[in-house]
Amino acid sequence: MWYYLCERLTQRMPALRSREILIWRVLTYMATLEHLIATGKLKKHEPDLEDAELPERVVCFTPELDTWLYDVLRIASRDRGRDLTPFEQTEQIFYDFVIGRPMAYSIHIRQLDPLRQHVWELKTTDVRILGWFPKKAHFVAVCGALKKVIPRAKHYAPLINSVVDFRATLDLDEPKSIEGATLNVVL
Amino acid sequence: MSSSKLHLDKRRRSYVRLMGEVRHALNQALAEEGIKRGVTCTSIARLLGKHKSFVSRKLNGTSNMTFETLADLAFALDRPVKVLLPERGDDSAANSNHPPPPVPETKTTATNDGDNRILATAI
Repeated sequence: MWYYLCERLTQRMPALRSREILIWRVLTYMATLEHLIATGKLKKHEPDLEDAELPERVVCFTPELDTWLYDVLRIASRDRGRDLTPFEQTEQIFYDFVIGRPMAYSIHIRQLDPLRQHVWELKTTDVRILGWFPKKAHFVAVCGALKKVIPRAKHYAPLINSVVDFRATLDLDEPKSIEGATLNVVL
Repeated sequence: MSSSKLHLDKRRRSYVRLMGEVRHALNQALAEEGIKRGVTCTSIARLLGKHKSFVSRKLNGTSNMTFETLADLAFALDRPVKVLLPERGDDSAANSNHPPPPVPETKTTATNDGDNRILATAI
């Protein structure tokens, strides 16, 4: 698109030299998800897969979430009656997501109110991971919390805000989020 | 490229994957039987003489799973439980959200083995 616009501008306004065009292109450069991963602003999650398993979706973490997963979630204890610790539940839902398992709306995943923010959560029994979908089957996980820390909808506000704020700091191509509240739009 | 792994001890990961496999298989079977015969958590609970929340807790992982519960749920879904332990690299270990390749009818049905944990299952 940028290349096309530059070509058109050069044709119509010969005074604009290639150097100016180049500067203009650099200044208006919008990053892709891949670029953000390459520059370390996001970390691509790579779950341990069996040899025959192939990733069908992508999960990226913010460095802050990565730190939270290791420093906080890893040492969170298993509640009575659970098979898995919160950390293990989270590892498993990321694995399920990446290998393309069906996700049930409101059981494994749901969009949060207000819907216009396009913030989604991945859910386990004890953990909520919040983020958004910049493109189909690509989830950027920004922050997380133990369910018991955010028992009611009103407790979600700071987390939703941190997703929105983080997304706003990224110079991702517009639109930065997939818009739509149904699963087949995002998965 | 910047990447991240949530490291789990290999032995523990084996258990985590198993529990994920079991719940995925049960939920998948419930969805299929729901379409085919109208089976729901409520109808399973009625058949087993349990409360609906018992069934949903088992299916969503809020409550731990035993051999006996797995067998009960499979019974209510009218499906046999089969156990597979494929060799690593075997195609049957491929993404289990896709239909598995046909396997010969071998062993094993789940047992009513009280508190024993499930070893490996696929419904």
